Amino acid sequence: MAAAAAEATTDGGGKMIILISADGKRFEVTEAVASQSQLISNMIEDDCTENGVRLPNVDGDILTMVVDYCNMHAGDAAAAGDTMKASSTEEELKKFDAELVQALENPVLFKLILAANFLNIKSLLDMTCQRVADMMSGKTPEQMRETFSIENDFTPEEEAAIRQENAWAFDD
Amino acid sequence: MAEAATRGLPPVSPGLPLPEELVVWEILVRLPPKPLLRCRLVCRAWRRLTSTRDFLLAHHRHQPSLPLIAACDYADIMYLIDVLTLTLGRRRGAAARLHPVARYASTADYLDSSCDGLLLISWNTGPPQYSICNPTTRQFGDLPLISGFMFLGLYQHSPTGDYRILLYRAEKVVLEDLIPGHVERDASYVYTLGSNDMPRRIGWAEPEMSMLAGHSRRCRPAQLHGSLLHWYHSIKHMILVFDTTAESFRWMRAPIDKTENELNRELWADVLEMDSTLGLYCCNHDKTIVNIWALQDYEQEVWSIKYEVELPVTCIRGELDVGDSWSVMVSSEDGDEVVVVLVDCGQSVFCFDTDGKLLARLEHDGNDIMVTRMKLKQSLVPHAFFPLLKSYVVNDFPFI
Repeated sequence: MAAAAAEATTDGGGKMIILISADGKRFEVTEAVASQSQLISNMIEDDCTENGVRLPNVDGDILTMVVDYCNMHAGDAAAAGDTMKASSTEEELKKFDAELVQALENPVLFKLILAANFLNIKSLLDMTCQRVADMMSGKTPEQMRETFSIENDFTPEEEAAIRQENAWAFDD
Repeated sequence: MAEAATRGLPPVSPGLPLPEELVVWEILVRLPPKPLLRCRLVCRAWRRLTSTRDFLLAHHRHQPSLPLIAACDYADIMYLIDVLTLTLGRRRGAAARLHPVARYASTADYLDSSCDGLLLISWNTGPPQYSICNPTTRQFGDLPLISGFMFLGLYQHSPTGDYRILLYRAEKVVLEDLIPGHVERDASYVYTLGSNDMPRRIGWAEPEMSMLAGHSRRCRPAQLHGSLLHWYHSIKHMILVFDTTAESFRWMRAPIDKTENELNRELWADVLEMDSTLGLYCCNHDKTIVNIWALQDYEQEVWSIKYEVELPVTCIRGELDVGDSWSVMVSSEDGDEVVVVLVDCGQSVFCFDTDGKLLARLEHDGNDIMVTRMKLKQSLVPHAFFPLLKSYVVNDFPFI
C-alpha cells in the first residue's frame, strides 16, 4: 500500500485518502479518485479527511464496486488531452461500465444506486438508474410492482379507466 | 466529516427498496414514453407523480433525440405513414433498429418539421394545408389559418413559451404599377399555435428564401440551435439564420467551397445538430466523400472539419439494385458524439460510422422509407394549444 501511495503521489494523484465501509473495510484511494464523489470532494476541501472517511451507509462489497468504478474513471480527465488515447480509453470505459451493471441482481443494483446517490457520484448514479429504467421498459405493471415491492392500490374500475386512457401503450 | 457522512438517507417508503424521490426523478424519468404510461398503473403515487408538468418536462429532457424516419405504405387512396426513430444502440451494446412511434393516414407523405416532440405535417401536393401532431400522445389537429402559406420553421418562442410557425407567401408589391415586371415578392409571417388570428406579417422575406425548398417545393427542415433557426442554402452556399426572438434574418458563412459545386448541381449538404453545436455536412457529386464540419465559434463563424468519411460506394452499389438513386444524410446519436452517415435508398437505410464502416442495414416491412433530415425527441408534455385546434382528436383517425 505504501508503495502504491508513493507512486500515486508522484503520479500527480496527490494525497491518499482512506474510505471505511459500514462493515469496517478500508480502501486507500488517491484524492483524484475519491473526488469523483462530490460528498468526499467537499470534505477534502473542508480538510476533514485526515482520519479516514467513514461511510456507514455503504457496505464493503458495494464500496468495492464504487472504488473500482472511480479508479477506472479517474483517468478521464488525464486522458482528455490526447485524442487518440482518450478514444481508446472511452471504449474500455464503456465496456467496463456495461459489465459492471449488467451482471448485478436487483438488490445489489439498488444498493449501488443508494451509494452513488449518497456519495453524490453523478455519472455512476446516471448509469445505474438507466440500467433499472432499461430493465423496466419491457415489463408489465404487475412485474414493475414486483421489482419495487409495491402494493396495487387501484380499484379494478380505476385500473380499467387508466388502461382505457392510453390503450395503445398497453398493446404489446 | 462524521456529520457529513452520517447525514443519512431520505426515508424509504414501506416496501420500496429505494427512496421515492430517486425512483421517480432518477429512474421513471428515464423510461421511454410507452413504459412510462404503463408505470402509471403500478400505484396511485406513481400515477400522480408521473403526471405532473414538471415531471413530464424532465422526462422529455431525458429522451434521446433520434433520427426521424418515415415509412410509407399505400392503402386505397391514402398514404399510411409510419413515424419511426432510429437508434444505433452502440452505447448499450444493442443492435441498431427502427422504432415505430405512430402510424397515421394522409393524402401526402410530407413531414415538414419536428420540434420538442411535435410534428408539422402538410397534406397537399398543391397549395399546402397543415396539421400539427404529437405522435407520442397521439394528439392531432388542423391549422386552417396557415393554409396556402409556405412553411419555413416550427419553434418555441422562448420569451412566451408559445409554439410558433414561421411562414412565407408571395405578395404583390404595393408599387407594382410603378415598377413594371416586379410583381411579387415573398413576405414572412409568424403564426402562434392555438391562435385564432391570421399569421402576423413580420416583413419582406429574404429573396433567396423560396430557393430553400429546391426542387421538392418543400422547405428543407430548419435546425434549431438556441433560439435561432438555420437553413443551408444550397445555391448561395450560405446559412440563413432566423432569430426567433428578434424576428430577423441574417446570413452566415458556410465552410463549403463554392468552386467545388458545378453549375446547377445540388450537393448533398445540410446543417445538423452535433455535440450541442451546429454541424454541416457535404457530400461530393460522386457520393464517395462526406465532409462534416462543426461550428467552433458561433460569433466568429469559425468552422472546423471534424470528419472526412469515405463511403464504400462499391459495397453500397453491390447491396442494392437501384443504381445510384440513393441519397446521403448525416445525423448524430444524441449525447454520444456518434455521427452517422445514413444512406437512403428508398426501401432501406444504411448506417455508416465516420470510418465508413457499415453499422447496419435497416428495412421496415418492405415499405418505402424516407430518411428525413429531422430528429424526434419524444414528449408527453401537455400543450394548451392542442384542444383549441380545429378537428382536434386524441388517439383517433388519422392515427391508426
